Amino acid sequence: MSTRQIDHSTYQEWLHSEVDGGLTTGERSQLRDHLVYCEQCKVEKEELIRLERLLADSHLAVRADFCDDVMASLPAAGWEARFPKSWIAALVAVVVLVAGAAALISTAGQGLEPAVPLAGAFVAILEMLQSSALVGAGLLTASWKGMGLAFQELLGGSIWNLIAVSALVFAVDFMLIRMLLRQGQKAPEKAARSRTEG
Amino acid sequence: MTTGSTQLTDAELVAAILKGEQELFSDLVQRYQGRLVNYLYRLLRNAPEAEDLAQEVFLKLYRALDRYDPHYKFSTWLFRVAQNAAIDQIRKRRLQLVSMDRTGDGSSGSGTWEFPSSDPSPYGDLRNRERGEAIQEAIDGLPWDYRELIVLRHFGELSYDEIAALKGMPLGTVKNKLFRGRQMMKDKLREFLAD
Repeated sequence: MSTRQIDHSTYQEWLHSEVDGGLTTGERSQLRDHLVYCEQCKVEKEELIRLERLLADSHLAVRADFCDDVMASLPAAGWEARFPKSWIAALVAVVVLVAGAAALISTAGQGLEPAVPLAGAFVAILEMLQSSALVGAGLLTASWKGMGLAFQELLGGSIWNLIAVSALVFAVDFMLIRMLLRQGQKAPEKAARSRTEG
Repeated sequence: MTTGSTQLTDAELVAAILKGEQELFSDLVQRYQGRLVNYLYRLLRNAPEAEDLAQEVFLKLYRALDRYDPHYKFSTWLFRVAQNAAIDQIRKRRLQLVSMDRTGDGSSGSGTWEFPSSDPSPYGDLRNRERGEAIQEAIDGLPWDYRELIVLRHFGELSYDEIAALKGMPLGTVKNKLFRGRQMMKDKLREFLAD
């Protein structure tokens, strides 16, 4: 503990810090000793406690449905898309389906041939999924190729076709951006309006 | 999963919300709504306006939740956003006043303070109203930088460290300004401190 001589103004500052719980144990002990004989600091401390109480008593009570209103008007935040609950639900559904299918294949095989081991059933399902993916990729490629040919036909015909399609694409983009911006601006207004109407 | 959410720290709550438990945001709102509304009320001097702005601040925070850096206190971030929102609001209000005919002060009147009364007598009501008005006048009479700190400390209930981080001030400066601000408040409210 420090034994240095402390002037009166420092004790007065410490009184404020003490009210806020911002004094070290040593400082608090020194202040306590000082308060034993300093009437001025005693009065100061009493006033500070009263001021603290006066300000605390003047706190405004928030209306009961404030939190519900905030929760009801939460906007769609960009980060929500990174962790959508629907993905989790879909993933759980796929896992359940695969596990169910594997169990079925494994039990159905028991009556016909020597039991299909569970691992074999999973391999069969994976092969089935692989084949489906290959078929899907083939179809996708074919459809993209078809679209490409159609565009080539359309745009290659005349320069005016190219200009018209470009203008159409720009117009649609412009409209979409404006709609998104307007939605963003309207969200807080809507929330305020629904609250005042409610 | 939400069981025991009241024991979670602010940073843990934010992490859980970002992982998909959006409903936990209500815990953050409940934790800070009183402090935020009171802080804004003392700066704006209008209760409905303070509640509206507090709601906007929460919505703004929710939208930007993924940008929260858990190395800093959530309260510091919240009050920084609130402080900027309040300054914008005061600026807007001044612009409206300038553009209007200068016949009255739009900030007073409706939405002014009513001190909570435990004394049902007319005298008690009057005394409480006087007290509420005196507190607001004492706050309004402080220079802006003292006023900000007093409101952050007593109505936002921020610690010295949080205020220092929020204002980018050394801790000693925060203590000193609060000391001076409180002395001024005491002088102005002396009549009520003797009760």
